[in-house]
Amino acid sequence: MKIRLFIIEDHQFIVDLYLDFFKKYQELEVLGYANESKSALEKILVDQPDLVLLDLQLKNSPLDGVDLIKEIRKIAPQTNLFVLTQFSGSMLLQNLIQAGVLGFREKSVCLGELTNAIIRVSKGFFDFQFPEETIQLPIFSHQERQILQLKGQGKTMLEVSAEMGLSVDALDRMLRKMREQSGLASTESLIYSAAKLHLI
Amino acid sequence: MKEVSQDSSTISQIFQVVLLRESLKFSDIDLERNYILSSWEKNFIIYRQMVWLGAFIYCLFFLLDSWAMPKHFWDAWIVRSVTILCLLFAEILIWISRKKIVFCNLLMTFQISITSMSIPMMTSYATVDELAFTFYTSGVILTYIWSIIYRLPITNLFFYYVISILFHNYLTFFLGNNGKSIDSYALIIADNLLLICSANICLFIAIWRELSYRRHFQLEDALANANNTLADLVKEKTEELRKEKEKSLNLFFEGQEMERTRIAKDLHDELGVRLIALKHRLELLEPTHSDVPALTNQVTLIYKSIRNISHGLYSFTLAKFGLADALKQLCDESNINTNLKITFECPTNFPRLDRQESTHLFRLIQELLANILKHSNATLATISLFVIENEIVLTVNDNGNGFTVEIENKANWGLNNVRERAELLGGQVYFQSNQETGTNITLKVPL
Repeated sequence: MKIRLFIIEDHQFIVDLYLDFFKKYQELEVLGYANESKSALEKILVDQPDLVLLDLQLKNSPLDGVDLIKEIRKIAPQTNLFVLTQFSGSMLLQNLIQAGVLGFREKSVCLGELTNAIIRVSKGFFDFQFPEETIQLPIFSHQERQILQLKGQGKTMLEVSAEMGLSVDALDRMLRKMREQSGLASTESLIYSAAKLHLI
Repeated sequence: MKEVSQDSSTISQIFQVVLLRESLKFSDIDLERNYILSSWEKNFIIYRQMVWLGAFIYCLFFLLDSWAMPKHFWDAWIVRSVTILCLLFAEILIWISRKKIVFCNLLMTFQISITSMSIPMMTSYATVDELAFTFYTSGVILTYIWSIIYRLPITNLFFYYVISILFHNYLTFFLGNNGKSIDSYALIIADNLLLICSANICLFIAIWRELSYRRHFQLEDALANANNTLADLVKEKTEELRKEKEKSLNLFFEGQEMERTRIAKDLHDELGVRLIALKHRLELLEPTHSDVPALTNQVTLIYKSIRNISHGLYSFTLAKFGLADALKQLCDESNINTNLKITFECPTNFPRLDRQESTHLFRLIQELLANILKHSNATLATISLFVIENEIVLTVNDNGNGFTVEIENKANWGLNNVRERAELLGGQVYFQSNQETGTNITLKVPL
């Protein structure tokens, strides 16, 4: 079973480079690529790829960044998303997590590492490259970590409660307690911090 | 041209104030004479109408007079004619000397006195006491009218009139006519003439004093006015200059920001991407040649330094997520790349500021951090950002050497830049520094 890949990237020479490189891997199949959002969305709607590799900043494109990610998730809910960008920073990553992105690497990453990460993410694992910063979290129980993991995969509260066998109210209470314990304002930053410390 | 004329008007204003000050010192220059004349002329017609109405009533009573005192019929008419002639004479003199205010006043006093004399004349049966009483009463009433016309303080005039009454009492006492009925108009005339003289002298003094006071106060008012205008002008100019400075500073900072953004984006989007591509191309090469990993490393280093430069020039996080996150990132980067360990404190509910404000604050903190790194040899620093009572309070502490004002002025550590940015934000910066405890900088900006 090959991983069906779609690339969105505005620099053609980078696209060429990826195409050249991914040829070497038997398990990767590049369905196509696009330089801007309109053609990208059309092709993704038709192809329904397993994974979309996308650059956050697209020149001359009607949509980019988190807006484009939301659009892709709307038309292809089964597709996993992998973001490549030159920027980093905790807020950006939190936003990406909130939008349901599973993989993140800075563009300067080694191609070998990138490929491994793509394979992991295409299987539904969470794989982010975090900027260096100091984060501390209290110790969470297994159940709490499971909730964060499911939320991190972009699932709604209803979906998480169905999967965990918990009421939405109880879920909400647990999340609030975790936020209070860790002193974080939002669930996204909680997931972000947990992911960074490899708790989930 | 416009500026030159403005300057000359300022100079003339200053000159005017100096002039007024001098004139107040010597009271030589009668600047406000025109003002007094005009107010005087305004009431002049009413006044004369009153005088001649008095004279008319006086003449009208001649019938009663001649019926009551047939013995003195001709005496009465002589007095009357003299009075009318005096009035006419005064009128002519007023007309001739109407430009000379003090002389005019004297004549008008004379007229009023004669008219007031005519009123007791009408009641020829009265004793000297009763006559005197009527006389004083009419005098007081006329004084009131006089003071209303001239807008003089009543108490002042009244005081002088009371003196004249006392003087008259003294006279009548010595003339020994108390309680006796009148048998000679000559006595009354002499009596009244004395009264008129004393009253006139007193009134003249009163008016003279009043007018000189008035001129003094008018000069003082004019001086105060001129001072005020000058102060306003100075204030206006200062404000204008301040605004101009602010405007040019704003323009400067905005231009700087635009240029920085452009360079950062060019570096990041063009050069950065090309370097990444180069790096990937190197990775794709078979590592048969031993130089390839070294080259890859080199390219990575170049990319990283370009990225750092571009992030220093333009903060993507600041533009996208606001000040608090940009500062957090700034501190994280500094913690990784330098020996300075920075702790950043900021509440999670810190408000989102507008672009200009957050850019100023961000650059300001960048400047302060650069100073700490360059000059202070500090190893620890704390940046905290809070909102306290509608004010953004930013404090930057370090454990470095500190600085003195002289050093700062000499070395030009860019603290001026910090001050200017704070001023543009309408805030204040406080520097506190000594060698033992390091430097503490507090900035307060209204939200």
